[in-house]
Amino acid sequence: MRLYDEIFKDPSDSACSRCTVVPGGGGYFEGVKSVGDFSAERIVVYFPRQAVEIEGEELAIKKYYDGDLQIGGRVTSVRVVSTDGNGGIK
Amino acid sequence: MPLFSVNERLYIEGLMPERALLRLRRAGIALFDVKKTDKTTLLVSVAKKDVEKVFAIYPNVCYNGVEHSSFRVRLAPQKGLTKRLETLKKRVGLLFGGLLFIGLTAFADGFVFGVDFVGTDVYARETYAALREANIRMFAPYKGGREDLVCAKLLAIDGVEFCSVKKKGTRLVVEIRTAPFAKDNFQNGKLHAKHTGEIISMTVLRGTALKKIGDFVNAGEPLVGDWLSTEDGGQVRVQAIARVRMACRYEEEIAAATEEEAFAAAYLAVGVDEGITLCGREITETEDGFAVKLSYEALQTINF
Repeated sequence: MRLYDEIFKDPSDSACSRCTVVPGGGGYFEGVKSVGDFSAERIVVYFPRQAVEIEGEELAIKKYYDGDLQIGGRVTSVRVVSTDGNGGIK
Repeated sequence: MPLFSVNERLYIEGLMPERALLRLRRAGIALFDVKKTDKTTLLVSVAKKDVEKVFAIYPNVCYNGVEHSSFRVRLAPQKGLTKRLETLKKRVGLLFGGLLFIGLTAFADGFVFGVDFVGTDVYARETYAALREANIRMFAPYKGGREDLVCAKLLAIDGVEFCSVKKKGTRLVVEIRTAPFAKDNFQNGKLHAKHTGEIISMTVLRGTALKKIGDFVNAGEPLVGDWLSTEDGGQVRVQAIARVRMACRYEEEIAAATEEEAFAAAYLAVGVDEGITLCGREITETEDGFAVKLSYEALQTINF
C-alpha cells in the first residue's frame, strides 16, 4: 500500500521494525530482536531500539522465526516503551 | 489443535524460559504455538527436523550433572491422530494385516460363492441352469445386470408366481414363491398322431408305446397308450408322459395367384404349431395353380 511505502522509506533501522495489530485479535511484528516477559496477559517484544509491551487475553506466540513474530489471542493494549542500555524497560 | 501435525511439541523448563526463545531463534529454528503453561514452563512446537537441533542446544541433562543447561527440554505427549500414527508405526504387522484383510474383503466381494434359496428350493436345478445360461458362475467374478434374464426364465416355469435374484455380499439370494393352488396340468388319455408320417424318434417315460421308430402312421392313430401292463396281465391306468417326432410330407395342388400365396396356404394346411419344423419345400407352377410339396418334422408331446 502506498501509505506504508511512504512510511517505510526511512532507511534507518527503526524502519525495519513493524507492528501490525488486528483490533480484538492478534498481531504481527517484524524485526523482533528478542522476547522478554511472556505470559497469557503480557508479552514484551524487543526491537533494536525500542520495546513494545503488548497486553491482552489468552496471548500466545503463534510463530516466531527469523525476526518475525505472530501473536495470537486478543490484544487489548500495545505500548511502545523505551529501553535502558541493558535491554530492560525504563 | 490440528488433528494431524507435522510438528513436534516440546516443553522448555527453567527460570524465565522465554529467554530460551532467543537462542533457538538465533539457531534458525522456527517456533510455533508458544504458550506459557506455568511460570517456569513453555510449550513450544517445532518442525520434526529441528527437534535434534533443540536437544543439541538444550540437552536433557539433570541440573547436578557435569554439563549444566539453563533450561531443560522434553518431548510433550502427542495428541490426536499423530499419537495413533506413532502407535501404528510400532505395529507395522498389525497395520499390514489390517490393510490386507480390507483389500481381500473388497476383492472377494466381487465374487459369488454360492446361492441361497428363499421361499422354496424346489426349482434349484432350473435355477442353476438359468444362472449358467446367464453366465453367472459360482466361485467366479459376478457379472451384474443379468438378474432379469434369470428371473424371466424362472417365471416361465409353471407354478412360479414370484421370483427375484439379488446379490448380497458373496452370496446370490434367489427368492421363488409358488402359487398357493397351482393347477395340475397333467393331461389324461392317449397320445394320438396329428400328422401322417414316419416316426423318427420316440421317448416314452410313462405309458405304453403302441408304435415304434420307423413305423408309418396316419393322422389320428394312437401312438402312446395311457396304461401300464402288470405282471399278471392286467392294466393300470396312468397319465402318459411321452414325446414323438415324425417326418411328414405334404403334397397338394393349390389354386393361387402367386407362389407365396400357395406356400402360405400349404403352411396353414399343415398347421401353425410350435412343434412343426419345416425341412424343405418345392413349389412348381401348374395349369391350375401351384403344386406344393413340403417336408417337415412334427413334434408331439403329452405331459412332457
